[in-house]
Amino acid sequence: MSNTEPRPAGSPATDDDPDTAPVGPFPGVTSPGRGALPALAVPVLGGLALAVVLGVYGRLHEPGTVAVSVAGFSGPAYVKAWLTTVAVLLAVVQLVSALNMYGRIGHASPSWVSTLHRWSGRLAVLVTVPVVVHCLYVFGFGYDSPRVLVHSLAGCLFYGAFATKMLSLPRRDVPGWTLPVVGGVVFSALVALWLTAALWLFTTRGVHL
Amino acid sequence: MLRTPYLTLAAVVVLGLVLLAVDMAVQPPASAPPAAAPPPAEAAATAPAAATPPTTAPAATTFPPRVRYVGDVVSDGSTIPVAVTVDGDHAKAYVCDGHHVEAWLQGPAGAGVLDATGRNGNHLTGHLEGDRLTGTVHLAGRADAPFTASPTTDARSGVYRQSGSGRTTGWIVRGDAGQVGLSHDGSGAVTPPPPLPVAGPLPAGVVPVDGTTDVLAAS
Repeated sequence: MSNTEPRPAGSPATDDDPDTAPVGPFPGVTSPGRGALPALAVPVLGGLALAVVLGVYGRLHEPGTVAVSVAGFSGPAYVKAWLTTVAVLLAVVQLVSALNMYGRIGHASPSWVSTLHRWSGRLAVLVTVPVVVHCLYVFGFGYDSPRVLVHSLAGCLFYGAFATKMLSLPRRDVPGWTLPVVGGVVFSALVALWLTAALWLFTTRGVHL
Repeated sequence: MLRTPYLTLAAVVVLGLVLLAVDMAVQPPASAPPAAAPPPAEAAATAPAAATPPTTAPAATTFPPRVRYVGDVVSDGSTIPVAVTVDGDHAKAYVCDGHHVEAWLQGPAGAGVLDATGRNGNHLTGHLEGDRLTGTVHLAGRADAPFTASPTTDARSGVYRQSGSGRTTGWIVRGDAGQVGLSHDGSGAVTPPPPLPVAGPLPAGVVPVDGTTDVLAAS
């Protein structure tokens, strides 16, 4: 058996040892070293906890009948659809600026790119908060149709992955692939949320405010 | 600098909790316990009901045992169909324009007067004038609007409802004047439902609303 993956010291490869470590290649992968995977434990467990809390609240909470609405829109569904659309556009800025910072786009990464990345990310997640509060409060975690189930799961995944990313960022001891992978999960989950709600609304009810 | 992601996470959590608290604060208390709300409303509504008929409805002071009214609400210069079923001392009402306005209401009826409440503070009061039902509808976010509805003898006219697996659908069948309906699947969006057949058996799960139908039940 050829096994070239870096393994944490103290866990020798054996034939019945399942390949649980991430399979590369990842940019900037360094040998995690001792304590690297435990270093991920806090962010990952924090994210898991938030995702589970959101899902359980959405399932157990008796759906409300009224929520604060925003003037100028035809209804809460469209407020949410447009807020999610704004978040997805900001997330594209996130993706491009991250690719630049990791040297995948362009030859250099000016310092303003990381500022742009930080603030577009903050704004993106902030505009999703009214949406998720409405979703959780009025609808909860639903599984009536595949679309609703995927949307509910993606919502929990999005905030769980976001929490994991925020908890990982200040840590210097996490593996190099952590931020790209977790950021990719956040981005993918947000796109899934947009596809299963905003795009669905726009195609079934028309594109308007 | 090192700690700003924690601040971002905290800000998101705090904003979420604040919005949740606001939503909880504006929740009308009447709709919180749907089963417990009607009895006090009934007690409150029947007391004035006993006193008002002599002045408001001199001709007919009592509802027939089972009657369906179909008519229109005049709201902001347009008309919105409304249908009311009075079954014994229960009134059930459905206001629906077939596009984006709908409201389910229910409450006590007696002595020619009915008082039905719905979600979001929606409220409908009506009294008999001759054999017609007339009154006022308050829909959340709209000005109070008058309505008039006539009793129907057409077998299919009235309010129909289908509720289950997260989807609630309502229809007002208006005899020769057609029908309107709205359906929502719990996502916040509403769609027009397939029309009901004008005769013959109803589709599975569709029931004519009567005094036993809980029109405010969550599906």
